[in-house]
Amino acid sequence: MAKMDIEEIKAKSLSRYKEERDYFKLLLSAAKVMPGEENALQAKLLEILLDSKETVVDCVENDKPFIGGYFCNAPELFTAMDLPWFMVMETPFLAATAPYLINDIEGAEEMGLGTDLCTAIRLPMYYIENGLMPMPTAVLGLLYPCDGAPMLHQVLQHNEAWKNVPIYSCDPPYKSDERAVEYFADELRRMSKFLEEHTGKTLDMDKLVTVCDESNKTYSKWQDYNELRRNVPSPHGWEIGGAQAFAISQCFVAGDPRCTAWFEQLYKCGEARVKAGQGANTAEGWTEKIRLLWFDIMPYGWVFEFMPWLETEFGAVIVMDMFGNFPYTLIDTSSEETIFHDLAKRNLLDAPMIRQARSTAENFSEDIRRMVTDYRIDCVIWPGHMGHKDGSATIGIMRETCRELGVPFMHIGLDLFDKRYTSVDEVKEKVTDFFKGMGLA
Amino acid sequence: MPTFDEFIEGVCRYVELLQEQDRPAKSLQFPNDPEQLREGLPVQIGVNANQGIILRGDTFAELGNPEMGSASHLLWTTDSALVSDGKMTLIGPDIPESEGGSLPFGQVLLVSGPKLTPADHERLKGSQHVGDHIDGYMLRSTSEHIWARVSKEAGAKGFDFETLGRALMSLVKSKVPSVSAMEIIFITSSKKDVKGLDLIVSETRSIGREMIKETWKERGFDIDCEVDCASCHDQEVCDDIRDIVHSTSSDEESDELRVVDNPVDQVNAESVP
Amino acid sequence: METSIKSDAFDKFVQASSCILNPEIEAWKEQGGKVAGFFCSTVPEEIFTAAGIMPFRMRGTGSTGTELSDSCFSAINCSFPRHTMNQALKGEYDFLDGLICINSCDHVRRIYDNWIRHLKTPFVEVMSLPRKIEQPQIDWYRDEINVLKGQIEEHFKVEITDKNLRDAIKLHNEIRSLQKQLYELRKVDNPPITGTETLAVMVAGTAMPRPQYKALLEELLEDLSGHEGTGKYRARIMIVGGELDDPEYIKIIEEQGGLVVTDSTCFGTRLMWRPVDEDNLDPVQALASYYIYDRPSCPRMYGDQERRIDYTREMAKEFNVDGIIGERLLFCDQWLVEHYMTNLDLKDDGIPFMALDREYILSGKGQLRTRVQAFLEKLEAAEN
Repeated sequence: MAKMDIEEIKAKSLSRYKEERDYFKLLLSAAKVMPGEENALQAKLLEILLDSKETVVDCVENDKPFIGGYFCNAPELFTAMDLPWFMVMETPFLAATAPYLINDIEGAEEMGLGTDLCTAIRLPMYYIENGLMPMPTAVLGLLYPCDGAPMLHQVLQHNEAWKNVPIYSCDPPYKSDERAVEYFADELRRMSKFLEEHTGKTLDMDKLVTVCDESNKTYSKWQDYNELRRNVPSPHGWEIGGAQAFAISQCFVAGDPRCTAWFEQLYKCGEARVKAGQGANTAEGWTEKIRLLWFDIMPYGWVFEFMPWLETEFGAVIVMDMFGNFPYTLIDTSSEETIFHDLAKRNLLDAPMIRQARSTAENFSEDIRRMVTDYRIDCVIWPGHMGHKDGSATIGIMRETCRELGVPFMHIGLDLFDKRYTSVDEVKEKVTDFFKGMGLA
Repeated sequence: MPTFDEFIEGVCRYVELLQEQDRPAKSLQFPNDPEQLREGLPVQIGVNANQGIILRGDTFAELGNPEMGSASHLLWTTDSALVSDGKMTLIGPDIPESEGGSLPFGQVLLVSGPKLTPADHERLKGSQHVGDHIDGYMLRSTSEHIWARVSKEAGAKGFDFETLGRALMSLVKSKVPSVSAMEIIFITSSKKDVKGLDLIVSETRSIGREMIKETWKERGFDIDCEVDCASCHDQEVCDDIRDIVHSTSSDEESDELRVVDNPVDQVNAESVP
Repeated sequence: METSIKSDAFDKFVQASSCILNPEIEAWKEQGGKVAGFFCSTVPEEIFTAAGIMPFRMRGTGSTGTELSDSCFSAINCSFPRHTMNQALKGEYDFLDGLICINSCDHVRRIYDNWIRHLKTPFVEVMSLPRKIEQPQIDWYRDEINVLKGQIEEHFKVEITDKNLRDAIKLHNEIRSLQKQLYELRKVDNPPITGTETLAVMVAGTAMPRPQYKALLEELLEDLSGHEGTGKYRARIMIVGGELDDPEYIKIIEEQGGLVVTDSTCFGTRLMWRPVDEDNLDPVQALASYYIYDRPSCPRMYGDQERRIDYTREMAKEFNVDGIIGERLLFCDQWLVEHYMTNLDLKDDGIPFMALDREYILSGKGQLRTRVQAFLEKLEAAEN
């Protein structure tokens, strides 16, 4: 890589970051003119997202402290410390349909990062190495749920320009017992000290209590909402309330009243539909026929080409997905001890993907079992994202679980962000064969 | 392999202790037959008995909100002396007294059967998740604790812990026929009492995990499939795989094969570029 | 294996490395000895030795297909666990009395989950290996080792005393020292042992009762003392990578004229270049410190890339290496990115580096030969 100085990186990365922000502005203006309560919610979510992006832009431009975070690093702590953050791997999730994404993936390949490393990991590596990511005051990493995560953080440490950005990475243990939770709580404590040391901010316990109380309100409303999706027909499908619930509660903001209000509104929308006996369909002339568990992240790179097709072609509604699921316990805010313990528990044992992929495979089968029962699921799809190698080594276990439950299981094999890996047509063909073969369509 | 026996005794001692401390308590005795247990209940029991979900506004009472306290355990034994069949103990207020409220909720299902083995543990554990099997009662979709709603309609019909207890006994006994006796303890007196219960039996989670692991090992890797080949659309693929397995292992070992899992998926997996 | 080494000990090593159940294990089992398999070089094998159990490092040697394990894994999984699991499902590991798995990588860690669901090995446990290399992680791993120690004691009805552990550490350190002596012999212009032969010796060291292996290794070193190797080769090569237990792979490189003189692999120097601290009052703490921090790390250990590249540089210098080959099993995220960084670093140093992907069982030999030849030509051109 050509060596760049800090000012050059700042200018280049800011330009890209603003480009991404503007892409979301475009999406927001589209959402605002769409009718209906659900679209109003989409607009609200985009406003919150844009606000977090504007804050990062302000921090870069005016040399204010901010952090580059990873997911499941107890973001309530950042909120309590008044530290804005962005996720170093957010682009493939948030802007997967942005026009420049395929060029970026090709750029990563040309760098020598191959084609079998998770695209969501390759892309941030590409951004770091090419000066396309804003350089924060400090970076917080997480060394799971996959091998790619620590490698991404090590590329960051290796990069000439980023070498001077302090980094702390929490190291989740592979076990899930009380000893593991306590160890991880200590990791979070060390992380907080690191933040205090490198950002000049302090962790005020009273503020943390307030933030965690708010976070509990958010999560309670999320769970209330999820119960609505158990209804037949489900009030919502893939478009709203699933993976977004995770994004808005952990990725853009955490312990924020705007977030709680968003869930309350979401609940009201869903409740109204349930009371009216209305499903996820609006005016498209299809009805819910297949209740689907999509047991992974959404295929963000080609979501608009696939998900609506599932609904209109087969009436297949994604009633639940890995990130929309709610396995969380609320945080006991009675003392510093209980807060750190429960934040550790939430981020180690409850949060999606970390919950399943970080440790031994029990939660792959436990979660399928519970979701299939609770949400009256007709079939389970494990998309088999090319980066989810531990999950791909768990397909036998998931399949057996589904067989015991008597629900059909399908493994596809695709890239959630790059449709060139398995084309959308190919995915559709496989899904069609599966639905027909299993007598679901 | 460790058993739950000492924990069953621990729970019973704990309940006695709570009773001695003058918590409101009642003890009921139910019939032992699953069909008789359902007789006279105010709500329907069975698959799809609960057709819809219970909305926040339609809730008569909430049980086990984490803020109030929540714990749920199932302990089994082969020692029939440890479980008093048909007995239900409630420590604390009942559901009808709690309209519009939220109760702490501790639930322990004690079951015994001379033929129960660790192989039954996973099924027994799963039998607590009653899903849509009790009309007017919805278990919320949470992972480790128990959190439930009783509907206003069920509340109006007199849904109480006797209803829930009889329903659970009937469902568990029907689902797992090797259960010959079952006793239920509900604790709603306070968050502290529920937490105390949880502390006594928290270790049983790891014992349960160990039982499941040992059961998998015992079950081993089996070529047999429960689906009838004649009616299975995967038969052709399955046959091909069996052929491959036979040809690759015939010159190395006996005819005893340890394959095959879902062939459909194998084909899918192989088609990944 | 074609060899110019005349040594009974070496013949035994070759045999042990070319199969799973070797005669030494059979003899050990006949005497009532127990064998515990383990995945990954970060499992403290000293603990088994201290318990009187023979540790066996898991491999898929001899596998020709993955027809049985394909129901557990998918096409994007590394071929090492797929072949090893396949061997297990075929019954090749029925001789094991126990197995310790570890979260070494996304592929290998799932062996535990699949193993306990499909195989009846009486004792199967999983260890939690941290990724960071700091004191809290050493302490965590110390506790993990203590947990494992307790599990072994309970299951195998043995007592592992501190003295047992110290003796085991001493034995394993002596083996490390002898293996290091073997490597030292390769620093000269005409080493008495090739890279292919060395790998066989190293693999055998994970597949025999250790006291016996130590005695045989002493015998081999004596046999090699007057032995002159060939000085005819095109370049001195170092191998950097992960799981590499097949001497035939090295043989292909050496057949092209690239003499492999040293390595940083987990069947190579990373196993033995440094000893466990025998002076630590707590032997379990010493083991934890060794496996987390003291020994040369692989890329799964986080934040240690600088030490790793320094180790590679030092080894290359010490063994007068002309070029470095980075080998990687397909779908391994860790080594893919590590080689990417290594390439950048070595470019700055002017040390030629080539990254090669491979499958666990040797395939694509023609392509491998072509790539190696091209690399050697590049090295020769640079030399001239």
